[in-house]
Amino acid sequence: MGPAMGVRRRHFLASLALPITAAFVPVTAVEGVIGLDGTPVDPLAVPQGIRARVLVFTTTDCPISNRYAPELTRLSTHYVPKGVQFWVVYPVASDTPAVIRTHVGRFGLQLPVARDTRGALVKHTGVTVTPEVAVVSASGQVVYRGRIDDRYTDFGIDRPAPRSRDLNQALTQLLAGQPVVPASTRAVGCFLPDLLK
Amino acid sequence: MMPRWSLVGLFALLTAMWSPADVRAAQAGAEPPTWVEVAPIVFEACTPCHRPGGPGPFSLTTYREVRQRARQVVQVTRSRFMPPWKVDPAIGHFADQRPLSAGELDRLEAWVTAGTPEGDPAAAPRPPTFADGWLLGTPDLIVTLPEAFVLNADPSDTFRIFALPVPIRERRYVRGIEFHPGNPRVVHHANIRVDRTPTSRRLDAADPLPGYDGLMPRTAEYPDGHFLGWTPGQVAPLVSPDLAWTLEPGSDLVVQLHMQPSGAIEDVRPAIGLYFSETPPTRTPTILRLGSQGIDMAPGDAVYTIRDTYTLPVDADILAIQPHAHYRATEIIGEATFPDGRTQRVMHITDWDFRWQHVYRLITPLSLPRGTRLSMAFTYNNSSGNPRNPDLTPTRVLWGQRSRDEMGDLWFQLLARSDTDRARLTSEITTKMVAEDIIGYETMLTVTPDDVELHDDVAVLYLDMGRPLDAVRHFRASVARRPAAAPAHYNLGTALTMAGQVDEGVRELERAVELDPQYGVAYGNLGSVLLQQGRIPQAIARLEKAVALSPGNVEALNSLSAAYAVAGDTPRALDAIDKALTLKPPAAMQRVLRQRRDLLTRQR
Repeated sequence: MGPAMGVRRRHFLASLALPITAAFVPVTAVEGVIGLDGTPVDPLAVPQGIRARVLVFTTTDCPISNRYAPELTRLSTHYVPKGVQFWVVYPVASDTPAVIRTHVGRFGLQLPVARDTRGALVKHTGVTVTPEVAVVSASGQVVYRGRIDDRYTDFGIDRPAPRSRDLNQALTQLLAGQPVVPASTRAVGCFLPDLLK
Repeated sequence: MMPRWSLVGLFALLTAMWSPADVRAAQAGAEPPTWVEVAPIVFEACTPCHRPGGPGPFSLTTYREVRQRARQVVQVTRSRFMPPWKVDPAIGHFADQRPLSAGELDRLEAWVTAGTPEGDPAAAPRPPTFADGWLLGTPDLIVTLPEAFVLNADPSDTFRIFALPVPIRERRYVRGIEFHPGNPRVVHHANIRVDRTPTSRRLDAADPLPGYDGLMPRTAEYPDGHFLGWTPGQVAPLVSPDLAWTLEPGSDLVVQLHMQPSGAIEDVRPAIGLYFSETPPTRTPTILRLGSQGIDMAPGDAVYTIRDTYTLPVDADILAIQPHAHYRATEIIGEATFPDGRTQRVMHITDWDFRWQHVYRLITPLSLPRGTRLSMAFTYNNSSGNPRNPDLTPTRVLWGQRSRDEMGDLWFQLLARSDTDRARLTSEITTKMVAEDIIGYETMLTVTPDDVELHDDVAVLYLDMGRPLDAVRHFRASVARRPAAAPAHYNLGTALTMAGQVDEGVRELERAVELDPQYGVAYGNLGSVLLQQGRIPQAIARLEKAVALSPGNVEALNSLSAAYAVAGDTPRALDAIDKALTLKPPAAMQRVLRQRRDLLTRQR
């Protein structure tokens, strides 16, 4: 899937720092956010016809993150036809394009990929672990941030099945035009601030 | 909790009155620890598994790698999820035990709080090196799956049993095994037994894919009182040659893998290295299982406890302990109460985790005098407040071997002081364990009363216990559910005969051979019963048929020789005796056959 190029964003913090020059600098994408081929991509933009975007933050060697691959496939299969785009976001530098290509192949992730090479998306959404998701509404706001579901309650403690499918609930509410409640949950996984060092 | 380095700092202030030099030295010690001080902790407690090629999911071998997981390391060591060691450190010393002290936990946390400083890279210790491949040395024999099992990507625990044939032509003595999971990302633990019968192999072969789903048969056993099993990070050391276990040709290693899918489709191909001893063992341990198979938990019951005890009839040493329970268990207690009344905890886990089922091997065996009472108490939480409860809506839970059922066993590996003591201990323990097994079967049958295999298995146990009437009850249930199956009638007929209900027994055996005219052993038993009833011509006809169908049926030959002898057909009787003796029957039967031959020869 091709990146959404040249679409103006209104809600990204970095863009606020450039109000004067904005008229002269062509807006491309979020700083340091690139696709596997190195070209800028913008997972925060919500183009026409798309009702929401889900940013799934992951790392290639986080076991909890990896175990969610089948669930992500299930969720995206269900929601993509309803106008929701899923992006898999790799914020850790050691996840190079070659490592990521192997990873998406192994785990069957057939979704657009973004590398968040300067942590801009991490900072913007406020995610702290992998796997953690951010749901961006059509108006560009982060309306949900947190776990995919409550299967994991701690490292090494997971339920046989989730009791609360939080991402699914957030998308259902959003698509129904309802407020997303809760707007955030605590995700269990690998700590991003350490991984980004 | 106060970090250790601030205690050092307090000490420094107190000593400041005496020596300014001491103050400077101690103040330097009050600095937050750097990687130089933290690395030894990580290398000892984490790196043995978290290294390239190790069973851990990521590496913790360098400053950079550890810094990237620093908060996670603090969190999981504080919660005692890692290193995976479930036993209360106060209990005793076991092999592979790497508990972190409170001081070490504090040092890790202080390092992370201070921003994971590296310190002087030149002063940092070098990461340990690990031998690739077999940690116990080159195995004498390696057995592996002929083809890999393909595990699905989806994230629920998966169990699979494999029968691995052992290609040996003669009896071997085994000092130990080393298990290689083949895919450490997904293999979480392995339960390993030895089956001297083809039962496991048949179950495996009946499933077109490698291995099979279900339960291990009773014939898959711990060999000669030795635990076999694997959890990540554990390698059981080789035992001394005098304690080796016997591996017979034709045996299979039966491996039950507990796998946690990774999110990707994974190939799993475990391998087992075997280490042999040239000489036969001189001592054999005995395995005692304490526990309850009558588990019946109400839905929502947050504190359900089972207990069991056993008093040793002889002196014995505890070599190893293995607790076993499924997901709902919370606390595990094992105790030894000595004849003088003193009680010692020998096992205590307050946060049971089904995924870390170690075999705990005592560094120093614990000597128990005769009269010592061993006891267990396991507590379960079958409420929704237990995040490990596999039922999101709690339900009634009974004893059973499937992971959705519950179990509660505390296994002890005991070594008696002499063969006589061992024989007595083993005989008593077997009786105790079979009695408990029977309770387990009856429990399972309350859930699945139509399971004919359960009825048949428990009936055989009742026969072992000398309770043929109970066996008859279950074999009747089996016949009622598969009236056209010849073996069901054979079983019932044989048990009825043993229960003294001979006429009905004969009818059932007749029915068995009517349904299966090639059923050699059924003809044999039928002939033997008719012989006991004095119906000689009928007995001879059935026994001749039995021997014609299965010439190796030594019991039928024995009965046939007796029947011929009673009928006065001495030549045929002698011929049957000779044929039976060439088959090398058990000693008692050989004696009977020789006596009969002597009698017949003298009569001539």
